[in-house]
Amino acid sequence: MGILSSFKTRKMTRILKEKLSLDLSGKEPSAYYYVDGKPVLRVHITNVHGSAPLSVGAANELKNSLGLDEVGLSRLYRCPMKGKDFENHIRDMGWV
Amino acid sequence: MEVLGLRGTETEKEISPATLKAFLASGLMPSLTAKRRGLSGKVLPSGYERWSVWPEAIGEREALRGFRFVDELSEVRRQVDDLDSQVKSLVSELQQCKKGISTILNEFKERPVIKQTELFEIDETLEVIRPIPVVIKEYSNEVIAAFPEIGAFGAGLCEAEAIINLKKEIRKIFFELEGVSDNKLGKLPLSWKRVLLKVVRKIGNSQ
Repeated sequence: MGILSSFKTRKMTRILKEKLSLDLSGKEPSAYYYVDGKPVLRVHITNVHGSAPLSVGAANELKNSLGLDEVGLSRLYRCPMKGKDFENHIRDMGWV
Repeated sequence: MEVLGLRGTETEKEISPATLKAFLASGLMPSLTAKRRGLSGKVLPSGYERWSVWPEAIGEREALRGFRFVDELSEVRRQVDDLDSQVKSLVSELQQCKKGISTILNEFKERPVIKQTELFEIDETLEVIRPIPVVIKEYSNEVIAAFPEIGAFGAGLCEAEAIINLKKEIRKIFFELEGVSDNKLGKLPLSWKRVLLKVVRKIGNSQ
């Protein structure tokens, strides 16, 4: 299976909370990611099935909202990419 | 002479004394005696192939046939080995094809069918000023409705559910950004706010 179908909803939510300091809570959590005190992107996690694996469609939208490609999202999920690395990525993208 | 039945190995005992006599008369005797003395390595007289009815000659012929048979068997074996290696190669290629097809199928599962539509209504709090362009992405087991310009999307098991959830998201983002001054927003949220103000107008309370 592809990269996008390999994520677990709960773990992804936890990773985003920890690494990006996002306030994700509730059934359909969404939150802004702040850099230099300003919101620079919005993260929304949804899962139509409510099941453990994050759906491919939701993972794809999450990837887009974070400005990452599949490998980047996977690196964020599987730990090599730290919060600071992500911030640098966002700065490099010119989103700040 | 074929009439006499002298060509095959089984017919040699049918040679009658009269026939033998005729052979001797026609000058075949020297070659006969030469054969019997074990001089088969010498040059054979003419007509040997036709009249070779002696045990030693029969043995040689069978040995030759045997050698030929062994040669043919070796050739068949070589061909079978060639076929075997070709079949192994084909099986290997088929396995690679199978893996490739499996990979392609998995990729297809992750690639949605995409179509576009427009939203003309959000809810009682927001009036749509201009039709909102929406991208519908149909995956194998879910549908995503997205308004890419503001990074909003809604998911559902069907298109209708996805669109309802997208409307909720548009409404949510609008009221999240509406009250925030522009200089407190990052580049993307500021852009989203501007887009939203162009396509929807507040007509009710967010509550």
